[in-house]
Amino acid sequence: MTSMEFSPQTIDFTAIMPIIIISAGILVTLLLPFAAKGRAKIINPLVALIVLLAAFISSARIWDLGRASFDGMYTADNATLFASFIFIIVAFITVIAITARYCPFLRSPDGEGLFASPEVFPLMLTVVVGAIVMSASRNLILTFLAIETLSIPLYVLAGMNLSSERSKEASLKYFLTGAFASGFLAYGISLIYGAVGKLGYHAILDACSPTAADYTLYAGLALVAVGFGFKVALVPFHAWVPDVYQGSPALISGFMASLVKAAGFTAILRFFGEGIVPLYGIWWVAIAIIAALTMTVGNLMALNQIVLKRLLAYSSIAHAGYLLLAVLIIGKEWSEKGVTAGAPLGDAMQCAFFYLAGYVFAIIGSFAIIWWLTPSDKEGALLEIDDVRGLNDRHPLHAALFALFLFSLAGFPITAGFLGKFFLFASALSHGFILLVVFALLNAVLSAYYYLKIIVAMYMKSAPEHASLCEEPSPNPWIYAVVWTCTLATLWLGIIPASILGLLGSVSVGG
Amino acid sequence: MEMNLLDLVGLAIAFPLLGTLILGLFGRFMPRIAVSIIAPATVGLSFIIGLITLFVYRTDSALIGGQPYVSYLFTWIQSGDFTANFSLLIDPLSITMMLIVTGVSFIIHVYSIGYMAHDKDHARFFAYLNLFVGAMLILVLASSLPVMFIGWEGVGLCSYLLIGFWYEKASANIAGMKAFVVNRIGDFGVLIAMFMLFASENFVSLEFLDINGAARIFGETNYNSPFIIAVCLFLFLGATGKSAQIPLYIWLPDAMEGPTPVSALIHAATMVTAGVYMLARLNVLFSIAPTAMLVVAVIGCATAFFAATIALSQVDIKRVLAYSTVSQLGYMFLACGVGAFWVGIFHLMTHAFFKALLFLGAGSVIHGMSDDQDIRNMGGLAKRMPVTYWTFLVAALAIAGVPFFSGFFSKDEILASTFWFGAEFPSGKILYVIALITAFMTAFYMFRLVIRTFLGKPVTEKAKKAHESPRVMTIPLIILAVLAFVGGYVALPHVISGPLGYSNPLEQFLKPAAQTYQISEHPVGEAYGVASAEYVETIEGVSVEGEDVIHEAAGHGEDEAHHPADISWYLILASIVFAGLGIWGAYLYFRMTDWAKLPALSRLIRRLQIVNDWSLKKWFVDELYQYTIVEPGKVLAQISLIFDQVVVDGIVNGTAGFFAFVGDRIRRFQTGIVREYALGILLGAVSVVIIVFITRMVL
Amino acid sequence: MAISFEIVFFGVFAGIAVILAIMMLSVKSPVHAALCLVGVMIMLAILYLMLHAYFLSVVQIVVYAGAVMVLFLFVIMFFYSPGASDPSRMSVHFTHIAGAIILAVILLAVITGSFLLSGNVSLTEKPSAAQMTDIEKPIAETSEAPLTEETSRMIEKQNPQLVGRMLFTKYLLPFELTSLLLLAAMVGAVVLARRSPPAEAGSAGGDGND
Repeated sequence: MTSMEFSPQTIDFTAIMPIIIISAGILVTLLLPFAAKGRAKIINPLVALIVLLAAFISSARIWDLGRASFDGMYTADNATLFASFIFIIVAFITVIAITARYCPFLRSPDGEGLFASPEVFPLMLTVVVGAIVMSASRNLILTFLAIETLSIPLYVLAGMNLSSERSKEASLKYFLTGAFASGFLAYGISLIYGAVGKLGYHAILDACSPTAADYTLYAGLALVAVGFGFKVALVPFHAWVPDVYQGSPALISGFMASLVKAAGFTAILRFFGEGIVPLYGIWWVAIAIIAALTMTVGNLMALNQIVLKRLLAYSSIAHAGYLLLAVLIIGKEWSEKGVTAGAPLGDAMQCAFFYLAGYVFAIIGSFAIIWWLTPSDKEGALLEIDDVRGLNDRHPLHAALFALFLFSLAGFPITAGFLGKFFLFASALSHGFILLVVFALLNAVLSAYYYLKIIVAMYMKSAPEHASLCEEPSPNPWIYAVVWTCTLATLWLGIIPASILGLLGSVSVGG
Repeated sequence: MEMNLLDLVGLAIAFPLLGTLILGLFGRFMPRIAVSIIAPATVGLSFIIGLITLFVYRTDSALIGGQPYVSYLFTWIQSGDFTANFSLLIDPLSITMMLIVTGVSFIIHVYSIGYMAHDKDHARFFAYLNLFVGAMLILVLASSLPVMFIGWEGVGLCSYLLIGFWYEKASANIAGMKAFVVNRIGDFGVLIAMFMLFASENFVSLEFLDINGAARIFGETNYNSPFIIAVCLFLFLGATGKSAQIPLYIWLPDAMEGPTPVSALIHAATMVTAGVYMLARLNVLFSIAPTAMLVVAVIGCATAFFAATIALSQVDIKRVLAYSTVSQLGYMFLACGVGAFWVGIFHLMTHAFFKALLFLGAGSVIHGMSDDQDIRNMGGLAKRMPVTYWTFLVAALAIAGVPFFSGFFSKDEILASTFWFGAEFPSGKILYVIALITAFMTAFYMFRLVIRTFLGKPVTEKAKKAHESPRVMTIPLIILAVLAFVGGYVALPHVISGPLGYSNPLEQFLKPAAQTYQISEHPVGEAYGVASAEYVETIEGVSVEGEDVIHEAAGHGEDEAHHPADISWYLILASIVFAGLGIWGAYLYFRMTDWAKLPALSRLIRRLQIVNDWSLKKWFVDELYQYTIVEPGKVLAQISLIFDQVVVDGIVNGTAGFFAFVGDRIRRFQTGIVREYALGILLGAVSVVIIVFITRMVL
Repeated sequence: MAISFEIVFFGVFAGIAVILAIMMLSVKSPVHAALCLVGVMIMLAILYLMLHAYFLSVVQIVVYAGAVMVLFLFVIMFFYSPGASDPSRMSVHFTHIAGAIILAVILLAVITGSFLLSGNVSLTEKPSAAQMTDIEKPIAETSEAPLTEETSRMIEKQNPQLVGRMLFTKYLLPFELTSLLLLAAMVGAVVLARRSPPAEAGSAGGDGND
């Protein structure tokens, strides 16, 4: 713990290899566009894809090895790696989907591009690095920096649609509120540092005892929770979400709703589970209240929405509420048993990750469908429920896949969403959170209403008389990468979850 | 496990689902005739597999005495110590249900070819219909609660799609939505019950066999414990949603907005029977919670009575039938509630026949009347639609409980079970009386319907021009009429079958799977402290012996046979008399229209009219829901809307008026929004810190 | 022990920093705002000085108050004409200010309260071993003695060395990540500042309500 004997030889490079690879990719994709013109432009996304693939492989190679680097500050245990897989897959399919917009010769039927600027690739890769470090970090300084590394490119990506005022507004709003929330996070970290003099999670774990009256520490952890809460959009730190998801290009909204939330929750689970778990008795009430608030407000607000992106934004807020249950479960389980390195993560972590995986693919799939349906010459336009009326008659495939994702979000059987909710709620119940589970179930029933509203519109209403926005969905075939991956994942997780659960079962606390 | 012919049963589910896939993907490109062949054929194949299963099961020497056979398909969920296999359970109960579902569905499919002959969307219709059957088969064949839940949700979804099939009709849309929302409330109950069982230490898995097995052991120490009662009541909540019982019955009468074959399918063979089936499936679990059983019996009885009163005055032919379904389902729950699970299933079966027949007959009438459903516009159709009339009459006789028709035997069995239940638990006699009055009302409203529709003189031009339906529609009617007539003979009452020297085959077949008596001979007994020691003794005896369960049950069957024969005859006589009175009453009521010209009578009738109004308005239940649930719901939505505007300032809410009113303000506030977001974050941060501090201080 | 000079100085400089920060937000001219920010940076540098972090303090002045702010001012003066600030955009609602002040005061009170309630943190005493920072600790350990005047002088002397060593050993990863962060910020600024194509009719206007 106190060793000063750091040298390049002591750094475990295999652990950080994925982020090294992606960082190299960031530099290459940043410099390449100056050389590449015309058809050669495809090199840019191609490099991004190759880099992501390489990062995936280098992550897979250290599966089960429980590598850690920098004195445990960076932990590449299986939880990190599983989260990394999700990040990389999401980034991979998103990059494929925007490639067509980037390269004019692929973009045959689409209009002038939204993603014509080559910077989009390095920015997305930076987000992935931030997300991976967030999920691997066991030190508050590193976590803070990782969150910023993830956020700053996202502020830019949200404003990527330069022709749309909404997009600019989304970018600015996200930036301002994000900076504000970062202030709380930094203040919280400084208070924790002031109280225990440590920033490493394990050092904090050793230092905090539930019996001492260390109010500075409590204030610190509360403010850190605020910072995290902003990232994953918990109520009341959620207000930016609808505006930002609505203003950003749909694909980027999906990217944010899936990747950022997954990274945020992995970081939360780590901090609460491995850092301040002895103080479970002190923070659980606040978390439980936030969980209940988040799911209820998210669902209630979604009820009235007619703009699809906004509706999905509120739905993603509600899902964050359900996911908080996992934090409570882990807190309760680990505060009772104590955390020991190498111990299996237990069913709480397992169901949290399963839920996350199911949610991620359903939400990004939904946003991809919206992107798909929005004609490219009306990039800034907002698809409303009325626009998808009778979609089944016009574009049955779009309608069927959209319905599938919505069913998964609503938690219907044979989709990933159902099993995710099932495991999560069952686990919460067996840990004694009866009231919260009942609350969550009622919320799930409530949420079915607005998901169904869309499905009703698609299947049971005739097409609107006036020309709707999605008369001519973009025939861009590259979006299939996202849509079909998500379809496959949603069904796979829903029908044969055993394979993924088996994978998650081997996830253990890193050494 | 070596291959067994019974494993073929998975195909029974696969065929309709395959049909859905084919028709859903390629249906619109296929010729009409191909669609018309594929859809019924898949269900027909399932029915044949059902027959094969029955045959193999009966002849398999390893499966004597109702031993269940589990056909393992694949492991669905494997998580730590929790495993859910996707496997199918084959036992008398599931075979019976499977045959009912596939058989009746097949006939309805064939009928639909004619009924939907002119609909442009018939490929979509048959795709949904096949999916419906597939989901129902998953439901009845599933070997565990989670797998059953897939079917459970699937049936709900399909009903929703089919009820709202004619989406141009606004009422169809609303009805579909209503069905779905109400069903979700029920699903919520099932989920909670499932989670409770899952979380309980005493129930190791959610396989039905394990649940019932665990319940047997658990019941020893925790007979009628609050936990079990809660689980059973939550399950029953789910059943009330699916099977349209008080308080969640409101969706079913509206469900007739869909095409008539759909109504037939929902009301007769699938969907609504799911709740009854679930109770029978978890019979042991329910048996150790007599209080829950009593609730089931009372709710069932109340629903039967209540729905029958509403049916008395409805003027829409399908609406009368819809309320009669609710009422008949009430009978089934009453049977389950008093512990006669097999009788519930028996009535389910006969009901499937005659109710399918009634709906298809009604469909034929509507078809002939050019889509007019109001019985006040009909009359005298018997001459113009003879096949429809005669088959409809058979069904009406059956549901009214006229001797020699199927409904008579099943309903009589329910009444008798209720009576004997009342004999052991005195207040239970009220249930018998109410059930008997309901039988009278059933006969009354059915014959009111028959007389208004088929007899007398045609009231309107349409009725005069009515024509018989094509043969593809009448042949299914005839087949169903035969079934509706003979269906009851598989289970004759002991007092009749005994002297004839043959035992009751259906009861013998179903008993092992759907019996209740091995746990408690007197379901309600202990909860009321009536001779409780005796019951505890019974329970202990059973669970210790274990193997002798079936033996003992058979013994009880003999006991039942030893019910005094004269009382049994009186009971049968009573039900005949009440059914007869109902038919006679309907005739009188009909004739009264002529007598009403007499001044004294017309006054009386006007007074009766008040009662009639109440019944016509369905006891104002819809209005009650409107003001207690729907309106508050709207208020809640309004609150959230206001919240929306205050906090987020400028969120879409969808009304043009709102845009006009607040549009300017919002634009003015546009720059202020981020500040408010920031304030929200600050407020949240302060609250979180304070909550954490308070928690610590309270600690 | 009575209130020490340290606390008085801290109060004065921190107070000035807060006042300057508020001024920065409230003054209308961007140039004035930038100058206020310079003031805040300098106050922070003084606070570092009081914590014996001489190196950091100098860096703070050189980099932030110097280089960064000069660039800031340069850009502002280059692009904005003095009267350009739109008064309607700068106006703030009273309720927002009031809400912010009330909440900030509550937060301040609660966090101050947390110091008092904690009991083990004294405003005047030297930190105990458990509260030593990562930088102090190794030195305290190597000297095998409590933090005396001598060791603290040692810290002062070795300050730049220590910071450098920490940054490139233990905190190498966060350090490198920072470079990535700054790179992304730079790229982002370029992307967003790029002249946008003319707005499409109908798509961006909207109702402003959704």
